[in-house]
Amino acid sequence: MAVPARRAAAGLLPPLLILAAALWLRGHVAVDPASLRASRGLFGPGFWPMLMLAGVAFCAAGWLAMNVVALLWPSGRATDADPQAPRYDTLRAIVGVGLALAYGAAIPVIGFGFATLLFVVGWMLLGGYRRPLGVAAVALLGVAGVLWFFAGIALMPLDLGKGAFEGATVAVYRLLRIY
Amino acid sequence: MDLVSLLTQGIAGTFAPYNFAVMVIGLIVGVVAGALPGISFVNAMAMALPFTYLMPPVAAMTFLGGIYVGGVFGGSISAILINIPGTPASLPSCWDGYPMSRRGESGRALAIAITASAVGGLMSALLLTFGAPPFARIALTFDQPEFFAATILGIVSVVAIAKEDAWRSFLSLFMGLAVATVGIDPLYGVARFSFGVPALESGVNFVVVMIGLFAIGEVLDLICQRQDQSALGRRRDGGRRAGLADLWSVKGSIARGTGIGCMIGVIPGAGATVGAVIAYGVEKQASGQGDRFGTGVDAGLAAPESAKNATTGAAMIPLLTLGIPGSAATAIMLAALLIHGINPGPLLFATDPRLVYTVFVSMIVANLLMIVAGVAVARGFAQLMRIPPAVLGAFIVVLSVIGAFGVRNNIFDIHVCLAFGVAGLVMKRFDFPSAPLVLGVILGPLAERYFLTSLANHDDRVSVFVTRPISATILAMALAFLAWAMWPRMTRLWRRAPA
Repeated sequence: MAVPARRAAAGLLPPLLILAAALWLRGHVAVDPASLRASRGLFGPGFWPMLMLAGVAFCAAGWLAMNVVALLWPSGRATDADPQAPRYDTLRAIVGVGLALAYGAAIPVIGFGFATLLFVVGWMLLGGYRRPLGVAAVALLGVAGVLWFFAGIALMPLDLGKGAFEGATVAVYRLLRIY
Repeated sequence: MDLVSLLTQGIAGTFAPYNFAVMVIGLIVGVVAGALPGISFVNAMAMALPFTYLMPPVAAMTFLGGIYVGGVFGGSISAILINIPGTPASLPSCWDGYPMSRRGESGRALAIAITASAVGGLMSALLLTFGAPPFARIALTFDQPEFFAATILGIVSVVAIAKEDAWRSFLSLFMGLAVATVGIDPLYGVARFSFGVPALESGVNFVVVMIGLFAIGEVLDLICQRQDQSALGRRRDGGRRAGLADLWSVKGSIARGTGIGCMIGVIPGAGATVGAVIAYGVEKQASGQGDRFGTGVDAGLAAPESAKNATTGAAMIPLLTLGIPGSAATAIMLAALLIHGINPGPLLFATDPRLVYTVFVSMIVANLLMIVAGVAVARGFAQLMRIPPAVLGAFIVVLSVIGAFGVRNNIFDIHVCLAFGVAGLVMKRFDFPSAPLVLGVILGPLAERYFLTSLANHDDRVSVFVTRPISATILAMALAFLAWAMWPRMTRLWRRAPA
């Protein structure tokens, strides 16, 4: 019985990867495995995580078995795609994920304020918002409002950034009467 | 002193202008804090605690009680409107409340949520007023094995979330339970899954996971859709409003949710999250429309909403009668009492009945006023839906990042949150359930701690969980719930099997 390779991969790869990860993690619960031994009784610090990993492995194996059965003996039910379902733009997904991760990485370097400003501008452009004046106004006013509320009112120690960015963030805070 | 005169004193205390004013302020603060993702009502109560130094004890308790009642409901506003539970207890409100918003029925969903929450909270406050002493005697018999059994009951309720594929739901749950073990273990102080990275030793906070999976994951998902970002726009409320008939039709769900919430709330340590999740699971079975749950069913929203607010009054029973705080919120209230030199316990009813009965009456009044506060804040929040989706999405990510950072003022939490955001997108793309994972991260640390401390206190005898009557009963209930939930699936499989 021929099973399309792509369908087989989609059905088998995720549970296989999770199963492999669970088995691999069982050997990496602690940096020093000797520390996992119970100082008294049966249940040391490694017992609960090992139990949970066993649960992960068991359920992944069950999911894998169900997918194998479904691939070898299809139920015959129609699996037409939902015409109402949204179509995904893979490129936009990659750029969106990249933008979000870059935002997180930039915060400790250029400071929360500047990183947020760049992120908001980037996200609005990615979302199809193209009016330059609107983008600038929303980003500047929005970030100023966020900084004023969270750094000024709630006194949250948001990251100032490093080097020249730290000085620039402090100047912005002074402008906003936060400092 | 008889009950009527005690209640009269409580009413006079509650409606004293100063006490009433701080209660209303507390309610508004609570609803707003609850609605903001990452800033829970517990944070708000902790931040408000220093202000209570300046207040008389009665005002301090009505103020904190207002934040508590308002905050437990407030989390549902963001859960229903933008699929971001403001508090962990609002997680089940996402499952049916958010699909209603996506259909353009956000006003109707909020009306059902507010009504259910108010009824649940009101019944719970009445239970607190009239049933505190007998309930306290039962709660006194609870120890670590019973807390463990109650947590297991909450975890087992994940089968309610599972639609057709129980394997994937349980896999997601175990993944969450495994994520919850990252960091220093609660009994021995050994770092687990840290890989030598110091930041991982402090563990993965469930609020960070929740914000990442639900808020950032959702925004990332929307930006990937090729339909001019109209998905957020679809949430604009153009659908039908909730009429009295709609509210009346969920009376059974509200009653069941309220009953469960009151029972769970009185158990110290169980709390609103466990109550709401169990209520959702029970309602899925009891409502007769379980196969439609998760698509925007009124009963699926009403039951957990009533249950989570029904835990508020009930959770104060062990606090006031035994001095046992059953949750972080009631622990802050205990701190406020102790700051004022008041030791809660059975004696408090004799030494300061005015305080006790003012707290009782203020909880009743706060639940009634919550309807007004909830509607006002929800209206303000609903204005967000008019903002262009690209702008709203950007600021949801920014607020989520701030919320994640605010949990422990730790930059590492931002990275964890964004990583779970990407994981949320992948899970959504591949139709892998994320709610059980969040439930596992929330309840995992509780389950482990109760399990290990139970064994440490009982010479490592695993049988302790089945030899203690209350623990055994709760575990039997969990087993029965599992069988009850799995039975329709089993029978379907049985019928499908060739003869």
